[in-house]
Amino acid sequence: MKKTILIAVCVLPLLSCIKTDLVNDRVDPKIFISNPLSSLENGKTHSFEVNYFNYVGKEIENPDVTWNSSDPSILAITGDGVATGMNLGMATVTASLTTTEESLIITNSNLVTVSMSTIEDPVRFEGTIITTSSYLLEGSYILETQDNDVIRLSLGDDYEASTALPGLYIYLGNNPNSITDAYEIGPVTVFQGAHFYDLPQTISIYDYSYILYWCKPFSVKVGEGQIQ
Amino acid sequence: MKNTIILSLLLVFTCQFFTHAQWLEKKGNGYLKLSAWALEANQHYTNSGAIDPNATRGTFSLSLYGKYGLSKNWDVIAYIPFYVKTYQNHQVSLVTNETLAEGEENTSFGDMNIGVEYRLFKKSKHAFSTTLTLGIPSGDSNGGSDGSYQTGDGEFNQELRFNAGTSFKISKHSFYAKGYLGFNNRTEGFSDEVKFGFEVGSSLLKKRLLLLLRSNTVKSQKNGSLNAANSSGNIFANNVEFVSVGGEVSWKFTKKIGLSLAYNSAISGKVIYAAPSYSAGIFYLLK
Repeated sequence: MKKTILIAVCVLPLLSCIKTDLVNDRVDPKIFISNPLSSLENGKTHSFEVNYFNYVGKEIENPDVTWNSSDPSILAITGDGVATGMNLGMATVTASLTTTEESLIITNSNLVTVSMSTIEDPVRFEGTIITTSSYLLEGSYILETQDNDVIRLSLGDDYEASTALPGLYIYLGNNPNSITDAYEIGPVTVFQGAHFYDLPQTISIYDYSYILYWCKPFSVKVGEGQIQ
Repeated sequence: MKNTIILSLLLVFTCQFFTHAQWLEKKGNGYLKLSAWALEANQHYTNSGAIDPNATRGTFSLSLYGKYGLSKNWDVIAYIPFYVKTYQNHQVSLVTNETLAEGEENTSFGDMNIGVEYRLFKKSKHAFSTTLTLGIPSGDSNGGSDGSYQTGDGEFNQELRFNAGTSFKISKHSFYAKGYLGFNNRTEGFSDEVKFGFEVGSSLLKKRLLLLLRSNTVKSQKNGSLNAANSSGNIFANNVEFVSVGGEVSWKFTKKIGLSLAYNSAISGKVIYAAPSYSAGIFYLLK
């Protein structure tokens, strides 16, 4: 009995030291055409670009992308993603990539009309914030580029968040299970009703896939909104 | 704001023992206990009572608990957590093995309690007393990089308890039972609390071994103004509630010195870790 208690007294402090939590932060890798078009003027060119986020949501620069056109007689495209309008009509541009980590083939497409003028896709995402915990968090959002080129994240009138969870922060990220490479917008200070966040111009509207509500002290996600 | 204070029964602290129905010390007698206490949790009860996950956090404390009989009717009580550590584990990717977030810890003095206990009356096997405890904000209420590695709540609280105890026999074997009801008046925007609990125990092996079971309940009055919107990072800032159950085994290996092991766990709660706590201690009976 004495030995047991003495061992317990000695072991308790040893148990109370910083150890390691393993976090499964795998996500499906994604590729996005970051400058899609609705329409390309016949005879003109457009250099398509992509954003690639790997299996932990980390952006990989200069990915090895393969470009294809569904109809090269209407829209021709080079291996570098430079498209040229050849004839009036419609064609789909596809960017594809084989991931280095898992050898998965991922793609993203853009339906382009070759016409008399060039029109970029309107940039606006709408969706819903949902709770991923037992804490109240819900509401609609709009992510769009303003006329002054500032990207604004707007939360709707139906937005509501629990005030019982201190240390609640909002992020933009590409991994719903980690904020390691996420952009921290800031602490949540509005818990009900419409409000908005203007994002810095260094951020592109295609840079992030998720809006994340994160409890910093607990290092755990409270809610999310999927952007794309 | 109206607060209803319900009178009650019950017991003082988790550290008392060998007291049976009479828990006040005789004049000049005392009880001293050096304890290590630990809790580690990777989940917590939310404000709705559900259980949610969290990064593993822990608290470890070393404390002194003492009780001394000033007179036949008055005891003085002190709880001094002289070493309190709160910490969080490293967060490491299972996929890449990269560190996602570094662990962190904060160590400091904790919040002390000092108090007095007064014997209301004792008759036969029954005893009643009242305890006034003052919670001294001697800990760190804003520790760590984000203020959440707290070792104290930063507020001065006053708790009044009414205690009752009795002894009885079952099949010629002696048992004791205690109960308490208390009201904790909290400041700095914290909600007041009603506390109650009970304890049943028995001595064995010529009173060298004590086995006891206990339960404690804390109910928030939800009359405080502190919440996430106006506090800065305090995890368990306000409106903590729980029902806990536990047990303790104590062994007196001399007439004055003994060791104890205790286990407690919240079986329901709000805004509190959902994990058991363990403690071990050595006590000294001053006679």
